Parts: sequence; C-alpha cells; structure tokens
Amino acid sequence: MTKINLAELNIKQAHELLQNGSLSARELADFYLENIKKHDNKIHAYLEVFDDVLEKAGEVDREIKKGKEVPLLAGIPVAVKDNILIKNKKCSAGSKMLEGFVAPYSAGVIKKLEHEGVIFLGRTNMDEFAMGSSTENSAFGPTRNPYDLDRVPGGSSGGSAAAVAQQMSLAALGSDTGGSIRQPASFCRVVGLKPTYGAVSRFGLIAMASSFDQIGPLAKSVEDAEIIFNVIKGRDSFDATSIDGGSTSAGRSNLPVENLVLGVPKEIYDFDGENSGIDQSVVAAFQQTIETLKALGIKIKQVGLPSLKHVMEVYYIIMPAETSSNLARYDGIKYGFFKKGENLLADYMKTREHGFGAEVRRRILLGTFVLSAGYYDAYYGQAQKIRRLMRKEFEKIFSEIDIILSPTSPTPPFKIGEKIDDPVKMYLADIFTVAANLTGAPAISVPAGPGGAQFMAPWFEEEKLFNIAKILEKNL
Amino acid sequence: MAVSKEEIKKLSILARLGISEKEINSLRTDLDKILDFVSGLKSASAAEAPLEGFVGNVLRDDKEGHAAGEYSAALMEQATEKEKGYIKVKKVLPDGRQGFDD
Repeated sequence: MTKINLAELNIKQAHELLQNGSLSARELADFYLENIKKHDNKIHAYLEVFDDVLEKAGEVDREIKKGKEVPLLAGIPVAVKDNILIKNKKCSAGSKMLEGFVAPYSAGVIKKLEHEGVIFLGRTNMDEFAMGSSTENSAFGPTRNPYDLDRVPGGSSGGSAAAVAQQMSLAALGSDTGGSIRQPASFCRVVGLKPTYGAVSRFGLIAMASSFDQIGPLAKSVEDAEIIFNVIKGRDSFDATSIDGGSTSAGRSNLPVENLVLGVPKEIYDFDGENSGIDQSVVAAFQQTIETLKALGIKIKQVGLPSLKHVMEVYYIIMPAETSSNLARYDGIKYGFFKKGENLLADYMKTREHGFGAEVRRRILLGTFVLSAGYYDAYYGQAQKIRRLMRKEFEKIFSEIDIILSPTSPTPPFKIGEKIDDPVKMYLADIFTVAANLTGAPAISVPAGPGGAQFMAPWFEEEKLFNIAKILEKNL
Repeated sequence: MAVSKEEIKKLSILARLGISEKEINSLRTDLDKILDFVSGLKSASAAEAPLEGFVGNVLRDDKEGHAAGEYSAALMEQATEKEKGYIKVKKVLPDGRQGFDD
C-alpha cells in the first residue's frame, strides 16, 4: 500500500481495507505517526503523541485476524483536542494552569469512540482554555497553518484542524464555543461541525462557557464528520444538558434538494451592499458558492435577522461571564499549577496570576465585571434578553427557509502575530460563527475557497447540514 | 466607559486573580476597549422575549450512587497538599479576616 493511497482514504474506505485484511491498523496508524514525525516540528499541531498508539492498533488487528466484524471506526486514528479528558492521559487545555494534570476519567465522547475501537493519536494544541481564534494563545507556542507556515491555522481547535489538513490524523475532535471548530476548519480547508447544543455530551470537556460549548468532529470530508457525529451524539447521564436528538424546531420537514431554500442574512452578507467588513477574496469565493448552489436549482434568498447586529456584543458579555465562573475552580489546591503566597488569598491570587495567560485573565476580569453588582443588569441581563430574541428570530426564520448560509470567516487565514495585540480585532474573527452558539443551532463549515462556507440548520437537524454540505462538496 | 484602577483591583480580588502593577494599565486599556465594543448593547431595544421552557430540571433517583470512597484515591492523588486523607490549605479565616474584602 503506497503512502499516496493512504492519504486519500476516508473512513469507509479505510474500514473496508482493514476488515478485508489489505491493510493493518498498525500500518494505518504508522502512516500518521510517520507524517507527524515528518511535519509536526514545523507545524506544532500536537502537544503530545501517545506512546500506546501502535499497541492499541495491534489490538484491533488481533480482533480482525480472529475473523471478527469490527465497527466502522475500529482502527481509525483520531487526534483529540487538549481539552477533552482521556483517562490516565495528561490534559492541559493549552495552559500552564493544568501542569502535570492527569485525567482521572474519560470524557463521554471518548468512552463512546473507544468502544468503537478508535485509535487516539495524541492531544492537539489549542488556544488556552479555548480562548482565541488563532491558537496563538496556547501556553505552548502557536500551531502553524499547513498551507502557509507564516499564517495561523485558526482557533481555538487549531491543532486539530492542522493535524487533519497535514495528514497527521484521519480525523480529529475539537470543541466549539464561538466558532472554535468551524473557523479553524475553514482556515485549514477541512470540514468542521458544531452539533446542536445538547446533542453531544460535555462530560469530560474542560468547560469554557457552559451554555455554548459543544464537542464536534473535524475531518477531510462531510461523510467522515457525519460518521463521527453519529457515534459521539446522544444523551449522557453525566451531562444533564445533553438530549437525544429529535427536532424541536419549527423547521420545515425534510424536502428534496430542488425544493430547498437557503437564506443569507443581510446582517452578515448584503447582496446589495459593499460588505466592507469582509475580505474581497472571501466575497468572491462566497459569490462562487452561491452560484454553484443556484446552478443546481437551489433557491437562495436574502433574509433579515436584526438581532445579528448585536451578536458580538451579546457573545462577549455572556461568554466571559460564564467563563469567569467556570475557571474559578483553578486554584492549585486540588490539582495543577500552584504558586505559594503568604496566606490563602495570596495562594489563589499568585497561582491564578502566573498559571493563566493574558487572554484568559482578560476574559475572567471582563466576566467578573459584567456579573458584578451595579453592572449585572446593564450588561449581562441585557445580553441575555437579546440572546432570547435571537433564538426567537431563528425559530421564525427556520419556518420560512431551510438552512442559513454564510461564509465561515470574514477573512482568509491571517499572519501569525497580526491580530494578537488587539483583542477586539481578534474577536471579530468569530462574527459569522457565534450566532450558532448563541442560539444552539447546529452549523457546519465546508471548504469553499477563502472564508469557507457555513451552513446552519434548525436544532437537531444535522442531517440537513450533511445533505447540503455534501452537495456543495461534490459540486464546488 | 473608563474602568478605574480601583475597579480593576476590586475585580482582581473578586476573581482571586493577581495583577502586577505594570499589568494594571494595559488591562485597563484592554478592558476599556472591550467594554466600548460591547456597550452598543445597552441601547439595543430588547422587547422581553419569554424565557424558553425548552429544558427542564434533570434529576436522578435519590438512591445509592457508588460505594463510599470508590473514587476518593483517584481524585485526591493530584492535590497539592494532603494530610491524613484530607486536602490541606492555609487558614481560611485568618485573624481579623485580613485580605478578604467580601
């Protein structure tokens, strides 16, 4: 089996070759391990490559040799973002704060994938505690975009996206709070899915903003992302916010492609406007996406979602608030980095001052501010109202159209260091992705030139996303 | 909205997050910028949308969870300071409650 063939395998093809004995799981895993050795010192997608990869692959091979039928994902190598716990493996959320921390249990999604025989290759680099859109906020150095080493891979799941793009993994897990799967997927030209809020268990995911976070797949194809999603989804008794599927939206029932209506929000991309907030290359690519879909008979129209005007403000109030609460647990007492002070308060202050990086500290302070007495109603209270309004607007729009379409990112991958000194500039990278987290709607990013193409569907209708994404994937 | 030095210091104690003197100014600037960025929201009209009753309380039966001590060793293993099966910390209420403003 030549290396070129292995590079083009998708999950179904890999499974077939494994099952019929043409390829061993060890060979498949080794292909990726070799690529990691070859490329990762330049790209730095991985914080750790696990030392038991070949051993685990060997276990799958033994089952196959016995003549057993193995699951679709058996022997499939997957990279895992450094904020998803794997029992007995280190986990650091890209931060010094979790120095030395070893996971005492596995995340719900890990248990599910393990049960299918997935091979976890290692943990991938990320912005510290998932705070960032470029992976430059990692305490362990940035990851580089495989398509241009001077540019960012996006974030916060930059390591996962880069690993898939550079053939250092067949697929990867990431997490998405404001676009952290989709934006790096678009920067690294891979597929990235943020499931409906509640579709996938958050048990064992290091929490950033609990009403936004979701784990999701990054993969080379829509079908691969779909396969992984179908395994990791489902209610977990350890995550009270997880639910078993079933559409709860006002969406129209499943229609054949020719009857699909896609809506492009005017607030994101104005058919009649200049769209000066979007890079010209992204505008051109998005026009191409629209033409491609129209040529297939799909109706695309402009829609209005006025609450989107405030999407960034709402997100950058609620998210830091939830984050400041979630990160209160990191105090060096129970695990992780600890710096001694003269008294208990100083223990906490010093530990958190030195364990957390600058962006994390900024967001904790911002969150503390918006939740503090005197400001709570003006900021947090107001933001929650607008968030509920946004949800209502989405519900109404999904009774008129099937899928919301937009670019994933307003710009192509920017240069390392370009936005890091200006937090607000960096925040604007998420402008098209955060609405899905605010409303809980599922969203997928598909490679479609600079900026990527993003589809959003009604709650629990991921199938609609996979259908339209596959259509674009095939025809672009 | 200008965030004062006093405000930052107050926030830092609330958040148990130490800030060095040289960082205070850059943090003030950053926070100002961000608050500027989000304060457009204050004037946004927000006709009250009813709270969604989409998710209810998720409870389990109040019966035996697991054997006492089953996970204790694993959870205690990484504590910074331990003594006789307890996590050890400095005095929570120092004399005169010095240092705690809340």
